[in-house]
Parts: sequence; structure tokens; C-alpha cells
Amino acid sequence: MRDIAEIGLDAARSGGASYADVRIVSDQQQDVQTRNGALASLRASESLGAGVRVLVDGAWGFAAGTDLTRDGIAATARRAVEIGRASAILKIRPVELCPVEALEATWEAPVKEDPFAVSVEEKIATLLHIDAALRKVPDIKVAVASMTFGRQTRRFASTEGHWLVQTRTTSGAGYAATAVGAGDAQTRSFPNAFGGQHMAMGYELIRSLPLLEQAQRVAEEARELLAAAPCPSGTWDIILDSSQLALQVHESCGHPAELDRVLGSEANYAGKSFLTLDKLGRFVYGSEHVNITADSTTPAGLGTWGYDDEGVPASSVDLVRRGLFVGYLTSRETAATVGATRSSGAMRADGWNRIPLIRMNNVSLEPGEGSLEELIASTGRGVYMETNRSWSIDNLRYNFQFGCEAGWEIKDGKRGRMLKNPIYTGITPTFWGSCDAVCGAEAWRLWGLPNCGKGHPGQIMGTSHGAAPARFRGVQLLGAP
Amino acid sequence: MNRADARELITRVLRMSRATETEVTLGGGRMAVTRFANNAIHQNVEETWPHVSVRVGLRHGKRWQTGRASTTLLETTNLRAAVDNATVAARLAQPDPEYVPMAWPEEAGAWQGDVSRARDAATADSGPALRAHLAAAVVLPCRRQGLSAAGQVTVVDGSIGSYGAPGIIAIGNSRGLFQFYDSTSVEMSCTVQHASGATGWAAASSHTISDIDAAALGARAIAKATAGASPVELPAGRYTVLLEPDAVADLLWFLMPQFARQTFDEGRSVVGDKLGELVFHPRLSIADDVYHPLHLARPFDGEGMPTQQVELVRIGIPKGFVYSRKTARRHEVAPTGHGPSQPSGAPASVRAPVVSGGSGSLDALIAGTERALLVTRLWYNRFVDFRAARVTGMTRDGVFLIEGGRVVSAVRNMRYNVSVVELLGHIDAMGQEVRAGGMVVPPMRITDFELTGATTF
Repeated sequence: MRDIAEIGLDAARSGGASYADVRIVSDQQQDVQTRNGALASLRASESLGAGVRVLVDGAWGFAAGTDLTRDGIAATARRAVEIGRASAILKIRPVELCPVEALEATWEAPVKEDPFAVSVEEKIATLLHIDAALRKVPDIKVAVASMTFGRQTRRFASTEGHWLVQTRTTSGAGYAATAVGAGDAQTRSFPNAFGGQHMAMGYELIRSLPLLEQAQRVAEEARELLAAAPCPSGTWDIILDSSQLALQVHESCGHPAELDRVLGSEANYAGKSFLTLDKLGRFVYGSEHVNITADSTTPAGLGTWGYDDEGVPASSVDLVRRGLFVGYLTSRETAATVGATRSSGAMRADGWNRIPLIRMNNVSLEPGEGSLEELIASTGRGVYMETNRSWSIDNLRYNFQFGCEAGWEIKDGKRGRMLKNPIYTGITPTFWGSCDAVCGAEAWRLWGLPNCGKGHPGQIMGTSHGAAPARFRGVQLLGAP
Repeated sequence: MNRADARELITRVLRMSRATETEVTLGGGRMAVTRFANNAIHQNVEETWPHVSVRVGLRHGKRWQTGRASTTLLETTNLRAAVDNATVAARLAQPDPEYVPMAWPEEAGAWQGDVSRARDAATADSGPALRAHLAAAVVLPCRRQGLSAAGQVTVVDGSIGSYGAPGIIAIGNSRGLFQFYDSTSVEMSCTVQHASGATGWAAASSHTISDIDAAALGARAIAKATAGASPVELPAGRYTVLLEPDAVADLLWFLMPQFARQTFDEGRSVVGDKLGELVFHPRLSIADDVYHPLHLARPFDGEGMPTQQVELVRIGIPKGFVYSRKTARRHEVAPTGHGPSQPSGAPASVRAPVVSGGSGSLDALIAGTERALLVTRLWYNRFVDFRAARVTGMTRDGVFLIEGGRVVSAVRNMRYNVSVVELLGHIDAMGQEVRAGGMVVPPMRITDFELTGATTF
């Protein structure tokens, strides 16, 4: 493949590109899903292609295709150059890239058990066992269980001398039970919404999850929610479980810290960010308990690679330190724009056919101290919430609203009755400023979110977020009407 | 890929299969996107790829097994591998007691309309220079006026979706069914930002690139951004809103799952519970119509069944469901051609909603409004409660207070929390329907729209 990549680079240079990179990416995917006692979906897919990104006359061009012959890759590179020339028509200033060391390397994420070597029969049987356990509980009208597996090999070459070959395997599994009755429908998921837990691991992830063991409890909780009291409105102290907090970090810290958003690249689609350049190193994002890092080396994270899609080595950077906003997720171009000397290495594309964008890697809230039980015991009156059900945030990432699948009343330090439809809302820095406790490392867990959308054309990216349960004082709850 | 090429490729793959029955779906094509921001083109991309997806059915007596596999590679070895992988997947799969054998051509029948104008040769042939020209029509006026323009021009020849979904160009099966849909599409949107931070947005889409009036789009966005400076903050509460067509479409998509028969069977459709009753305002009528001149959408579903025109709501009364072949068989009715590719647990889906409107323009509607909030579009809209079609989200890119038939001030963006079912009972007036947000939909004035809080801009 390297010779093909070099032909693409040569064609780009010959066309007038001052910089070019070629990514040749192969993908393998398998998805298995059961629904209400039957196999609902069993799909295998493969994909192989190349994307060529060029700088011509100081402007970007990109073309991608599946023809990996010598003529094919050269034609793709020439098309990228033609597109770059068209971009230059509306150029204001030439694109500059901050430096990166040229590297030749291979990288592979560790896998103990190849998920593609595990039989489909075993996967289906596991899911159908779960399905049966869920539907054994009365009022469960919809039971969905799924597994998903992927393997991607990325080959990256650039006119600056890179040749990087990286391979990673991902696995995911989970299920949801929906109870219907009394004019209501309520869902509980395990281990998380969004198809469960997803990590850069092999089938050992599936074997490590207590999927069947928890099925009855999960289904019973869905049923219990039908008769549960509605979550109240008003100002309450809340405790969020680690999976909900992972999404809160994703939406209200990860996205606004993407420097391309800050600089306006996404203004027409996802929006911009309240974390403007003047706030770096000065803005109080949260309380002293809030420490958030962006780390592309976290073991088994969906944001973990050896190098990003610009050839920048994996690293960890602080985004928020003791409540102060201190860092961005960057690319070579955006880092250069703000005068930084190196990129944080956050550029990733979801396949060969799409350009790299600044994406979250593993953006995590660092643990504090104590257990969830201790945190609840120290809370006089509040609501504990688990598992995301709904999420929405404005285009500058200020005003958010999250709904969870289940809540529990906290009264005098004890977890009490179940509450349905818990919804909380707030303004991002006010909310994080109200954080007065984060549980310790033993309660910290890395959650994989497989469905982060960004860009136009849209790209779906897996990101991971670690968090331990945390408490927020005086949060606005929106009860159901 | 033309009809003959599609048929030849499908026939070639069908011949590779020894399964009881086989279906081949072709998708992909070419997608090109030019994005601009800060008054310059910053991303400019093009991708070209085919997608071949193979489904097989294996019969053992009365038992059927099924599986699917796909590839983006057209070499014989890759195509054969896709057939083999689908066959292996089927062999390993649990028998499906509700399996519906693939459709015969006679079962599918003919389409009910003409969608031949869904393809435009000039759009298919357009290149980066034309896309840059369209972008310039927005960018250059903004540069001159000290404004900042962002936006995109997307051209698709084929069926590639924004998030990389391959879509469907053609389907053929071993029983002789063959369907082919040849289309181009173009979409342009732009966001203009004023120095105050206020933004304005406008969008248009068509099958034909010459339909896109980029200068007019830019002018609309510029006018909104300029008028949006110095917004006032309003308290949370129930307001009369005048939703522009894109905002109406943003909300109505959350109603559409209610019309899937499977969703109703699962107890998750509050509308389905009230079929034949007056649920919405009598002004509301909705049909699903892929043949509508403003849609001209793919006239067959994921199994190649022709998509029927389905009346969903008539003068406020829910009238019917959309069906896949599987749910249709379960209920002993004819499928409506709205099913997903099989095997799938997903319900059928409404694909081309047409909401009947009134006769006036948006401007006429504004002129006839005593007091309301004019909403350009809605953003980050999400279900809060699927069954009740309760949704939350934010206003974006232009909210204005109308008093006495004219816009009197800009308003800060606000969060809404509404039941789409309930709010459609409060339709106060409608304008003429247009193509917006994937629907044919009118602007609507709606009372008692619940806004639950402001943001900071």
C-alpha cells in the first residue's frame, strides 16, 4: 500500500500541492441485533478506499475513492488538487500548519480475543438469552439487545515523510427494555444507553460485562418506572451517575473545547463555542473539583490511537484544571492559527472518504474521593439520576437540558423512592461551578460513546469519557407536565 | 450508474448466489461538499464510491434464515465474498418465524407517479468551480458589509447520505424484481454573523442546481443577522409563535414515528391510539407522497416495494399507518412501501411528508399577526418522551418579536419543551407550503408554545 500512497503524493505534488497526505483505510464491521425474541439484524460489511488531502495555493482540497490502482490514486490526487484550486478562489490568507515530526511507525491496540473469530451463533445465543430474561418481566413490550464489532486499519503518508500504519479493534454490547402500560412507556438500558458499552477491546469486553446477570433487574426497573412518581420541578441538589456525567462532559466541555468550533469552522452546522480565545487560562469553567483532560492514550478508549490523522503522536492535555479553563483540542492548522507550537493531536476522520476534523479523544473528568454511597449519605435532599435518555444543548454550548432514564429521591442521606422522567437543565459554567464533590477512582469508569456526530458531510465518531458520580448543588429540575 | 449498468451489476451478483433467494441493493455515487466560514472556503471535498449489499434467504422446509453483507469494492472476489458472507450469516442465524419471502415483480406492481425529473444532468456534471461561485454569492456581500459568512453547498449524484449512509439507487432480487431510481440533489445553507454576535440563517434544496438562488439566500441570512443585534430577553412562558417552514419541519419529524404500524403495535404511539378521532387542529392534513413535485423521492422502499401515497392526517384526524411487508402481512393488509431493508427490527418510516398549508406567504402571515415570536429554525431537537412525542430543543439564528404585523425587536434564543401532538392542536394560521427541512411544509402560527428558559445570546 505504501507505493500506492506515494503515487498519490507524487501526483499531488506534480499538480502543484505544497502539502499532501494520503490515508488508505480498511474497515470491517459486524452488527448483530435481536428484538423481541428474534434476530432483527445480522450484517457484515467491509470497506477499503483512499482519501487525498492537499494544500494548493494555500487552500484545502480533498478527494476520495475506492480505485486503489496506480492510475486510480493519481486521478484522486489530481481531483483533490482541482478542488483545492477552487477553494483558493475565496481564500483570505494561506493555510499554515504547525510543525510535526515525520515518523515511520506501526501501532496496534491490544486485543485478547478477536471478536471476528467468535461465532455468530454464540453472539446470537447470548443476545437471545438476554432477550428472554428481559421479556420474562410483565409489561415489557420491546426488548432490544445488540453487539457491534469493528476493525479499522489506517495507513497515513504525507509529503512531510510520514508512513504510519495503525490497527484497532472495537467491541460493544448492550440492551434496552421498554415497559408499556397505564398510558406510559418507560425504558431502562444496560450498561448504558447508545447500545451499551463500547471500547477498543476484543470480545473480552463482552465476556466481562454482567449482561445476563443484570437483565431481570433492568427490566423490573423499566416496569417499576410506569408506576413511579414523577420527578419534581424546582431547584434541587442532584447526583449524576458516571455514564450520564460522561455525556455531560462530552457535550458541555468536550465540544466547546474543540478549537475549530471556537474559530468558526462549524458555525453553519454544529455551531461555535462559548470558550472563546480570550478565556484561555482566565475563565472559571467550574468549581475547584472539576479537572478535565483530553487523553488519546487512555487504555481501551474509543479515542485512543497511536497517532492522529495528521501524524501527531498521542498525548494528554488538560482542558480544565481546578476549575480553570486551560486548553483546547487542536489540529495543526488551528494550533498555528492561535500561535501554538504543536497540535494536541485531535484530528480524526471516520473513514477514508471523509477529511479529518478536530474530534474528542478520551475527554474525562478526573476522580475525586469517596464512594457513591458516601456521597448520597452526605446529601440531605436531592435526586440521584442514572443513564441518559435525552440530550440537547445550544449552538454555543451554554444552555443544556438532559433527561435520564431513572431517578431516585434522596432524603436525609438515604436513597428513597424511584422517580420517573428526571430532567435537569442549566447553563454550562454555572452548572460546573455548582459541582461540590466527585467520587473517587474506585467509582470512576470509562464509557464509550459510539455516536458523536460532527461536520458536513457528517461524520460519526466514537469517543470515550471517564467519570465518577458527582454532585451538583442547586440545579433546576423540569418535572413532566 | 445508469439503469443498464445497475441491472448488469445486480444480475452478476445474483448469479454468484446459490441461496434459496437473493436480493442485491446498490447505493453510493458521488458527493461533493464545499464549506465556507469566516468568509473563506475552508473545506472542500468530494467522494466517489459504490455500495453493494447482498441479502440472502435460506429455506429449510417452513423455516427461513436470512443474513446480509456489503462491500464498497466491485472486484469479482469482493462481490463473491459479500455473497458468501451473507450466506454464512444466514446459515448461522436463528430461523425467522415471520420471514416474508422476497417480492415477485407482480406483487410489487408499478409506481404511482413520475419521478424522472429527480435527476438533472447539469447538477451531476457540476464541479468545484460552480460550488465556489455559489459560495461567493454569499461571501462577497458579507465581506463588503463587515459580516461573517459560513455555509455549505452539497451536490449528490446518487444516494450518499450526509452521514455516509450509502442509500439506495437500485434493488433487484432473484425472483425478477428490479427497481431503479436515478437522482441528483443539491442543498445550500448559510449562516451570517453580525459583529454583535447575532446570526441569521437560510437554506434551500432541490434536485437541480440552477434552482438554487445563492444571492437570495445570502440576502435573507444577512437581513436576519443585521436585524438580530441587541436582542431582548423574554421570560419563560407560553407564547404564540410563528414558525418558519424549517422550524415546522424540525418539529414535525418527531411526529412521524407515530404513524408506523409497528410502533403502534408496541404501545408507543399515542396518535395511533386515537385513529379516527379529532386529535389535531382541523387545519392540519398530512400525507406521505414521494411523487409530490417538491419531493420526487425514491419511489420504492428497502425491499423494492413501490411507495404508496398514504394519508396520515385529514382535517385533524389521524387516518392511517405506513407498513413494511412484515407488518402488513401480520395485519393482513397491503404493504405501503415504507419498510426498511431487511433483516431489520426497525419499523416502517414516513419518507416524504406533505403538510397542506394555506395560501399566503410568510410575509403575509407576519403582517396578519398581532403578537408572536417569529422563529427561524430549531436546533438540537431531541425526544424527551417518545410515546408522547414530547421534544426539547433551542431556537437558533433569528428569533424576533412581532407586534402589530411587523417585527419590532430581536429576542434572545430560548429553550422549548413541547408535545408535538398537543401543539398541533393549537394551529392558529398557516401560509403556503414550501420545500423545507426534508418536507413540504407551510409556516405555522401556533398558540401556547412552551418556552422554558433563555440562553445567553
